[in-house]
Amino acid sequence: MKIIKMTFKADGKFTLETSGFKGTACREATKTIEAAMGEVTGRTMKAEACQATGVQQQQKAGQ
Amino acid sequence: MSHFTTIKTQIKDIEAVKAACAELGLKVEKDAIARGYYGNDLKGEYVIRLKGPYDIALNRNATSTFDLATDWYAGHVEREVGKEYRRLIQLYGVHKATIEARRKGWQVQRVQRGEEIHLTIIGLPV
Repeated sequence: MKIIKMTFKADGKFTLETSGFKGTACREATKTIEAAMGEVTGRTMKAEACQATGVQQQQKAGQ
Repeated sequence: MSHFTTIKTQIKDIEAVKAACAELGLKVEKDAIARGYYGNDLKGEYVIRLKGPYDIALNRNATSTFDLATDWYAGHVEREVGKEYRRLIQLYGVHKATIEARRKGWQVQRVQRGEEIHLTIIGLPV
């Protein structure tokens, strides 16, 4: 299941974490929210396996 | 692939500000004067009317985000919205994220753990 988790800390900062996405779909899903919230100061792709959804995705991952 | 993102919250949405203020029991006025120490008042495109003697003025800057200005004297404002507006910004972020997620038709679950507020967004298309 695709999930977006957001943690809002007492110091005013927050982090966003996605899970359950394939390929680069996570970036697409959160693009609007991230832009609406403010300035992205850091992004880390998770170490879980990058699952391709088709030939086109595999080609992009290989670039 | 999934990812972590760190974001510095920018105040952009006055509706989210109003929702955050409502949660704090505060009102937002349009085109008003924010009270400051010893009559040092400040005009605001919006003003968060605090319960103490001073208020917070919001004015849009060149990047269309809102700058906040207030009088921090004697801790009156800090007691209501946190040091450096942290409590207000936290709640603004929670409400802004909720608005954006619901606009997409997603569901939002909110949980408070200590001083942190956690949102879990589900219902994204398969």
